[in-house]
Amino acid sequence: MNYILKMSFRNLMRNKRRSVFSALAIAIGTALLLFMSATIRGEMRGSLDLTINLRTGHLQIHAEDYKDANMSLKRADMIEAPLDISNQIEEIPQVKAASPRLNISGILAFKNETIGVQIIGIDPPSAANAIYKDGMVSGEFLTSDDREGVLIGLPLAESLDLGPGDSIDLILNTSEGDTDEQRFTIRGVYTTNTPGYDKATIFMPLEKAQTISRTENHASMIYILLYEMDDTAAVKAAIHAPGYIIEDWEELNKLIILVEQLSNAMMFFFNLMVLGVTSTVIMNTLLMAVYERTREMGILGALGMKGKQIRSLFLTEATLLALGGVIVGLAIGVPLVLYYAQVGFFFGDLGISANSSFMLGNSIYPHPTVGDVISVSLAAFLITILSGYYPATQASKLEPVEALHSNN
Amino acid sequence: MEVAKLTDITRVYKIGEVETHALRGVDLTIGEKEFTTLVGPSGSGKTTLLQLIGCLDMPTSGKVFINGQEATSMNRNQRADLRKGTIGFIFQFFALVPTLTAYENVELPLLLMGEKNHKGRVMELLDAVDLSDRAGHRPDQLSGGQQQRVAVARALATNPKLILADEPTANLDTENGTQVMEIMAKLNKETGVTFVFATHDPRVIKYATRVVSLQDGLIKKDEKVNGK
Repeated sequence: MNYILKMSFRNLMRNKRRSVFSALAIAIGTALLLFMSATIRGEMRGSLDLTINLRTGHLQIHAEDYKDANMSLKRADMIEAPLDISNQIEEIPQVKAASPRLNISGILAFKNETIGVQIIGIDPPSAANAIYKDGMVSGEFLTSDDREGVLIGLPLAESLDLGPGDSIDLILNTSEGDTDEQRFTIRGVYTTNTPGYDKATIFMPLEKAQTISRTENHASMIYILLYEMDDTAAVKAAIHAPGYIIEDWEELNKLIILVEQLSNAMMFFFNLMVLGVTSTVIMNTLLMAVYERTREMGILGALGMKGKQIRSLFLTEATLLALGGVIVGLAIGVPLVLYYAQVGFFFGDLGISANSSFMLGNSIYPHPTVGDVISVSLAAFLITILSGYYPATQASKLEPVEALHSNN
Repeated sequence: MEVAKLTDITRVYKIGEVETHALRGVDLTIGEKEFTTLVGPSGSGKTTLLQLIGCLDMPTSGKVFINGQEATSMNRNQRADLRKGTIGFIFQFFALVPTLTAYENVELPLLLMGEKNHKGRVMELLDAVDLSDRAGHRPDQLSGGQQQRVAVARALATNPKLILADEPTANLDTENGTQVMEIMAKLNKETGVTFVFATHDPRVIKYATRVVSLQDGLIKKDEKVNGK
């Protein structure tokens, strides 16, 4: 077997440039597939994480008829005494935070500008607000007893040239079906790096939001974050909230899960296309090699080399090309993916609305997994060897006497 | 003892609708230690006959026996096995594997036989063709004559009963041609290996102990001669 390996390696070295370009095709294919799969995975994972953190939580409790998109303020659509329920839920060990939220639709008025916004009443000390606290750009976070303060997002602040200390007017819907208007002071500016959300979401303390919307002691939902996503089913089973609906992140993010499945299917076809092009290059290279070395195959046959040994010779060449290509592909792809996993791709505002069920940040961070590296490498490796099978079989079928009379 | 026996051999090549009768009923027996040349004009069938003796090709009709075994009833792999252990080849073009050194080219048939401790044997053969100092050279670093001598050493590697040489001196100058023939004649005498040549080169014929003349696919004359 060693002599087959030696001959195969030297055969590849005969035409170094062709071998290098063939291996490069495999390398580029491998790197591209790795990069694409990590990017798609990163996009989907990022979107799901953001949507869970900003909108749905891992679990959510709400009234049976409450629809997030409507931001209904009818008492029947709301949760009564929400803090009692959230405090109870926070005692479950797997729960990181459980916090009531009151969603109100409204309009921001500043000078001659009016902008439709969603106002979310939050319980300021709750750990559920960590994402906003961590993203404070200027000013201070809210306190529970603040009656005039609000937080606005960075894109909104920039577009209206607002900052901490500035005043804005908010016109809000109330549970009685009318509107109320009040002047608020901006306490701070936050960013979640989700432009669609940040430019249209304003936070105020829950109590103030309840007062102005006349929904005293009521909330739209209880937002629950867990330490581990895998504990969702166990925590869901442990929550006791009679009369209300408990939904988990899968039920609340059906669209994202559907899009992820669609992306995976598209990725499969993308893989097929890239590997198809790569395999054509390899097949062409090896067919050329068979054509150029026809007489040599005749000599080997005359010396007693059997068809299967000649096939092994070409399959070993394909294997060496695959090995070189995949290693170089990983050497290019892995550092590239790891680099972009750190710095991300900046896309800016993709125009997704604040209450969309599909949140997208301003950057995509590829998320490589060991599984991706293994599956992409194996796919590239196997496809290359399979591509070599046809030329190798053609070579093995050459009759020595005909091959010896070839001009090649 | 006969090394090769061919009985009533015909070989018809069919290209499209056109049939070419390369051999038209040949009977030939090659004995041990012979130094035989197949001679005749181009198209007389000598190369075809050599290929049939070498089991590289199969006759349209007739039987080929090599070392007592009927090659015409064997499949492709069995014929490859038969060639591997019994027959050595030397071709008109310097048929070495270009990526292997002289040493590795001579070693190759032994590796195909599965023999492991062969270093001594390979060096002995290279020494016999006066190329032990060129063992590490690749074919493109050797002259035509040197390449053909490596091919002779390779043909002898597995101690075959029979060596078939198709126009072995055709691409060599006088000096190299003579040198190659001297080596083969010497090996024939010293080791007893049988040589069969297809040639019309007088330099080869003068070494022969038997000359078989072919014409139009038939043996016209088969005579013993006193080779050099």
